[in-house]
Amino acid sequence: MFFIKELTHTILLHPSYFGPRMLQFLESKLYADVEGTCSGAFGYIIAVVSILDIGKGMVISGSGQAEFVTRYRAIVFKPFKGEVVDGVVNNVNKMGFFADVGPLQVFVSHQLIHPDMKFDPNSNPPSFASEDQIIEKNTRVRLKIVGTRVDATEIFAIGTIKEDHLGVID
Amino acid sequence: MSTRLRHRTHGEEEDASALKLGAEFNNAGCLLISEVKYLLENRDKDAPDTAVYNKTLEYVKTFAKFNTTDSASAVRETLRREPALTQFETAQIANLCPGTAEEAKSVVPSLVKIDDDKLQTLLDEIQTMRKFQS
Repeated sequence: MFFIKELTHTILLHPSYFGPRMLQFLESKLYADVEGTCSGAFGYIIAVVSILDIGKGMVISGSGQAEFVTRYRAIVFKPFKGEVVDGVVNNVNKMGFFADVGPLQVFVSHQLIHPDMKFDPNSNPPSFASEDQIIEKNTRVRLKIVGTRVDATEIFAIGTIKEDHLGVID
Repeated sequence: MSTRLRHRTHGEEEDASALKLGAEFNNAGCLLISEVKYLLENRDKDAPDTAVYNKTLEYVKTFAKFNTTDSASAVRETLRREPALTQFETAQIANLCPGTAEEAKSVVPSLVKIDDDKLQTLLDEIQTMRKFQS
């Protein structure tokens, strides 16, 4: 699910940047620091929509650097267990398939695919196929997230299409 | 030991089918895919060249169901008439556009609280809007 969320980010600024162009520098630093990052608590931070408050800037005693606590509003994407999402298949192998849901990669194991759909090792590109449906690269699927694992820089999810109203969408 | 326990309970808290999104997201504003598409395409700043951004842009272009801001806000307006719907449910209905009440309750299990007929009326209206958007 995509959310719009208020977040904070702390920027440490070296004294050599104190000067007339400091605000512009802080803004571009904020964009560069947070856009495209991922954390367990907030999910993927996709884009900063607006900066609410760039912060006052406290000079830290001892180092001379200034600390700015900026508040900004961003589009974030976080997957939840039990959520149903649409995705695009990007890789199929005999273990199952991977689907892209925005920045997130979801793995659907062959055990969580309807038993009618069989892996066809001879097809090119590789596919899961039943009599009337086929899952191959670039097929759009509707899947349900059954679990997520958070890494330092990425989230991985496990999905299922073995339920009513899930599977290939046209 | 204690950190591990805390971690586990935290993991169990999040479950979208029971509308438990964790402390950070229970009251956060949900965006429709169509709204994300609008926001990303109408940024006044240059697009950042990150994998996350590019993948998301491609994704929202593929799955946006409403291609104008008018139709997206009309859908929100329609769903607002049903006060029992949470932000998350509103966004899920608008993103997945289920055709029947039964399908809607299957993909968004927390919708059981809403009467089938009422839900079906809402879904029909959304389907019509989708069909006739300019």
